[in-house]
Amino acid sequence: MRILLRQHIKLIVPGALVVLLAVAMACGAPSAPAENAPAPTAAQSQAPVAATAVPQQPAQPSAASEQPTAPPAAAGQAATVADPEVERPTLNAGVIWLSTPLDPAESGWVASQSGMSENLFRLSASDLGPEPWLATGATQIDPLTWEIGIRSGVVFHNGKAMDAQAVKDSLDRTVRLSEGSAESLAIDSVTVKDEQTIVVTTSEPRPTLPGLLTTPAVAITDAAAADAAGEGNFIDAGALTGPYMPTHYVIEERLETVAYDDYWGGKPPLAGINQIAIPDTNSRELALQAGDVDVVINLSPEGVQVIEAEPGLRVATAGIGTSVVMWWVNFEREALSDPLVRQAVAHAIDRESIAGLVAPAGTGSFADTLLPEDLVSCPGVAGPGFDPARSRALLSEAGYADADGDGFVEKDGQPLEIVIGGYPQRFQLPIMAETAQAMLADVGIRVDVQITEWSVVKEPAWDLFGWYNNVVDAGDPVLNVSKFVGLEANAESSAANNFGHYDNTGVAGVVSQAGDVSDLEERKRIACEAMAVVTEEIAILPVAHAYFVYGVSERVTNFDPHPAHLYYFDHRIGLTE
Amino acid sequence: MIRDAEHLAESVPVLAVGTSARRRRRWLALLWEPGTVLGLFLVASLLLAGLLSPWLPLDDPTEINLPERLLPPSTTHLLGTDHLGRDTFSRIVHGGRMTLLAAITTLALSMTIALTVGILSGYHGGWPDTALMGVVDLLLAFPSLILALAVAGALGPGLFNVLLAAGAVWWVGHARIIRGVTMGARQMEYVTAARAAGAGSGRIILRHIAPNILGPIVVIASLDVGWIILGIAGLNFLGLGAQPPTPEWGAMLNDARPHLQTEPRLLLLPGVAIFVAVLGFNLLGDGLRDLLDPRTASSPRSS
Amino acid sequence: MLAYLARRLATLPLLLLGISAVSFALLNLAPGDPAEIVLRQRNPGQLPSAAAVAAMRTELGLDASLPAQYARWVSGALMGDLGRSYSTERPVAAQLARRTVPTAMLTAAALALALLVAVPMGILSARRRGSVVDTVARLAALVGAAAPSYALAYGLIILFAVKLSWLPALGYGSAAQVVLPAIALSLAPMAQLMRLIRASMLETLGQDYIRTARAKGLSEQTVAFSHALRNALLPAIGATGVNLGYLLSGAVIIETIFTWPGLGQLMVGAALTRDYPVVQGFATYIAVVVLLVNLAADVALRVADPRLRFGRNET
Repeated sequence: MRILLRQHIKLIVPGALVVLLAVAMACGAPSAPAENAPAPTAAQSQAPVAATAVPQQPAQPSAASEQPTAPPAAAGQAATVADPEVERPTLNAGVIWLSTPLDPAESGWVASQSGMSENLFRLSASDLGPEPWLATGATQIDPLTWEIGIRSGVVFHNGKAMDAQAVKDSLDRTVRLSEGSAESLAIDSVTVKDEQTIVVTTSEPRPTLPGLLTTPAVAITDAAAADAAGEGNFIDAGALTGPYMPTHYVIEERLETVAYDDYWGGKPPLAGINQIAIPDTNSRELALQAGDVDVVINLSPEGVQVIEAEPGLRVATAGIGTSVVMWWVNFEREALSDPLVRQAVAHAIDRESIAGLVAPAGTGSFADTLLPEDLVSCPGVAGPGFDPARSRALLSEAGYADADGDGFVEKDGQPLEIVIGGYPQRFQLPIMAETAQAMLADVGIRVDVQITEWSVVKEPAWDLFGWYNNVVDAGDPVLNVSKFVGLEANAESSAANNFGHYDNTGVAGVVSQAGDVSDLEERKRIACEAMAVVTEEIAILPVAHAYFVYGVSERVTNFDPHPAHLYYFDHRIGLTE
Repeated sequence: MIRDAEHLAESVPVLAVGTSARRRRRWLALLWEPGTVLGLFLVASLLLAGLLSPWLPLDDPTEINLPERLLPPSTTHLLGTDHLGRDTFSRIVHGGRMTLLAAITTLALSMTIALTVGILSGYHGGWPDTALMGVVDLLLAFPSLILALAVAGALGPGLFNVLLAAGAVWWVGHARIIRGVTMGARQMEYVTAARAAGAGSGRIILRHIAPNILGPIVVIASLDVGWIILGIAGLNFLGLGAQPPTPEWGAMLNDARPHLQTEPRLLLLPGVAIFVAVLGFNLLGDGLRDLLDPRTASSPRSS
Repeated sequence: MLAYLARRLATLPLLLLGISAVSFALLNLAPGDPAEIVLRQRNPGQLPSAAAVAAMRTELGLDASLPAQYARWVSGALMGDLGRSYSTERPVAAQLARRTVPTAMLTAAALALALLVAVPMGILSARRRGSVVDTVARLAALVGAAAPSYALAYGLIILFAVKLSWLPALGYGSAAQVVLPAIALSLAPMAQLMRLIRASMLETLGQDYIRTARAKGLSEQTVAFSHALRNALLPAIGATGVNLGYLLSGAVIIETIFTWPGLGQLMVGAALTRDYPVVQGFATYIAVVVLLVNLAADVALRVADPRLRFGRNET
């Protein structure tokens, strides 16, 4: 026996190892629906990923859509779509992250991006303002009261009709479960006026309520079904309304959906969409080239070159820079607390050249100010231009000189040294840090680069910190300026980001004018005024506005990229064989 | 990046003690071996370039020149420029300096711990031996890259942290070998004699044990530098190491990832540099082992 | 044999305790207050209040003494509770369990590939020492040991997935998808195994009993395969644990490149975002697996190698 054993030992040991691994596999057998994870990390919520457009249909708050809509199947596709004999293809997509739970109340990003959930309003593809979606429109009755019409003919995935009562229940649930939404919406009560109308009263004026209702956490959900399904079983609830229904979700890995044939906007031509998370940009681009996936989200500038040159593939973008790439400026550290040094630093960095590197034509544009000019144009507001001579003059005015001749300036024997931070997940940030380091060295400022992780922004360990953030939240320009200086859109609460510890009293005064202004043009004017203050005081340093750039196989049809980060796939996208 | 202890233990026995004439012949034999010569040449050039790089007529490896970014190789830029217009050749050479420096620091750190633990354990035996070898067995269960990654993850990114992490996990395998050699040497007659003559422990270790350990250490070190270079470059590649603009091969590879298809040169060059450096140290290490290992000394190379 | 096994098993709990101590120390080495990190993850963009941090410290059990925290961690680990990830707030143990499958598949495939190539090549190389085959094999081993797998992986993707379109570039799920990562992962251990087998085969072939066998007139084939091979493979068996180390270490990088949803990818992400509970749980888990595999390999070696069975007793 022993001899036999010995003779076969060469088989046994590797064999045993394989068995061991197999046992490990069996023990680790998944089945965990992986559905029960919460909160998006900040990096994610910062992460504009973006959009496929849902077409224009839902936008019309017209009487036509008041009628129980039979799915109207667009003419061109009717043949394919209506024919049950034809097997519909499944689209494969590579996205950056799949890291939020599907239940919208727990953040809702993935559900919105993947075309599973829908809100009462959504961001319009043209001006990024709110437009009706599951709503037909909203009317402000008085500063605290809104009447919202509800689209008829919408049915949840589980077959239940979405009426005013369902919408009320959904909003109540969101307010109950999502602290952040409760705070931003300030909803006091929701009442059902009739089958298709609800009345929302807020505890404070919310002139931009339709915009606030575009947040993914406020997606309309069948509250009773979602609550009954319980944690981790959200898929079974069938509680959403979008063109795709989730069938399998492994958080951070993959998401499988099937088409919802009774979708109110029409039957999708696809059988479904499978998404895999490919965090590495290179790998994502390679997966598209190898044909593993048909669509990838967020190409790098180099990826754009490669994909454009590859037959059978193309690059798609809406061409609006809905994300800003910028630096926070730290007012609490000694170096940059001096306004002269702050200006010297700002004038020493050639932001436009850096923008050309990190967001070259076709992938973004130079950001002189915080909001993209396509959306909010502010004549007369201009950021600090590249002017090394002026920078040197400012430094000497501030008392800095290169006394020891080492090429770097000092004051009272103390060298001027600043730290530029950033995180690696956004390729722009290390490049920005490195180039700025060289530019600042030219005027005599020594720079230490520290690429670590995003949460370091909350530690007092940096002078400039690279950041990537969307600037189209809730379709409100005022909010998208004020949130960067630690203010809400009404300047009353101060819960949001102010990582640079900037004294925002000046901006707060400007922003408070927006208190009950609902007119978009007027809000843009206020946003410009606020931006003028922010730019003047160098509260932050914008560098580039980045587009959402998709790589798409030529087989993909009717792909209409949305400029924002919330909508990748609509019900019209198709795939030819 | 693996702890090679088991393999080394097989192949690094006690240093051969021979007459000087035989040794000279062996050195000649070593020189005949083309692999070893190549290894020696590669390592020597690396060390030389690393030592001299600050004085070589190279461009500043950190000098950014945006108008000249992504230039192909030319007479002004032998290997072209990178995505920020820096001279690639200069970055490779300075990167070698940084990589070698990192590897040698790690090695020094791990050797110091390994010698202390190994000699203490091997010379004293008894409970210190049991305890120390218990710790060694324990740490051997953690694959080194994974432990280094954990330490680097705990400390946060940075070249210094990576070195600390690598040094802190690398000594384990070495300690075992040194312990073995020490135990072997301790039992040799002249050591027993010296002890009987009343020589102190310190004296015995310095005079009698140390020379015996030297050979294996040289072999382990040269064989291991390759692994350490691969490992540190791996950590840098994962973004846990050197901060920009430090030229370091692994970090250069990481920086070049976006240019994989548009400028494969930027990935290829640091990749080849790592390969050549590791190859050089491996060849040299193999040669030294053959030279110092009596089992294989009589025949030509055997591994 | 039984006594040996008993002794090895007796030290196992001690080693496990040690592993848990090392892992626990890792978490406590980390800078920053875990309570604050969790709160920041939950409410990005907001600085948590002191009261919230204090409450979270209580919730996480951080206000207990270190020994008490350690005891709690160990008893939790014994029950399969390794804490919750800071970033996803999901149980670490469940994440590890789910990601074990892909990593086990990948490492098993790579190990099989490494053995499949290394064993015949090592033997051939030793039997025809100095021949062209030997030279090529040795060169290949040198190259394989020195090539950085991360650079190689990209090369494989470009060649086989993008240029030739023979195989998928990445992803997980089908058999074809395992090929490229398994190749990239197997090269280093393959090279190492090949050298090891060649060396030990050479040594065995030079030994007395082989000469005796030859003198008895047995054919070279018989000598090589029935006498020498078995002994030559012993070091390879002994190195199983080390090779598992190679593979798991390599998997960390390879999985990142190939988007292979295994343990390595999880670990790199956790290390980059300083998700300490995941880092800690992962290190513990891997250490325990390596420890057990080493034990199995040592026991197998004892069974196979009479010299060890009757020779020195080392634990």
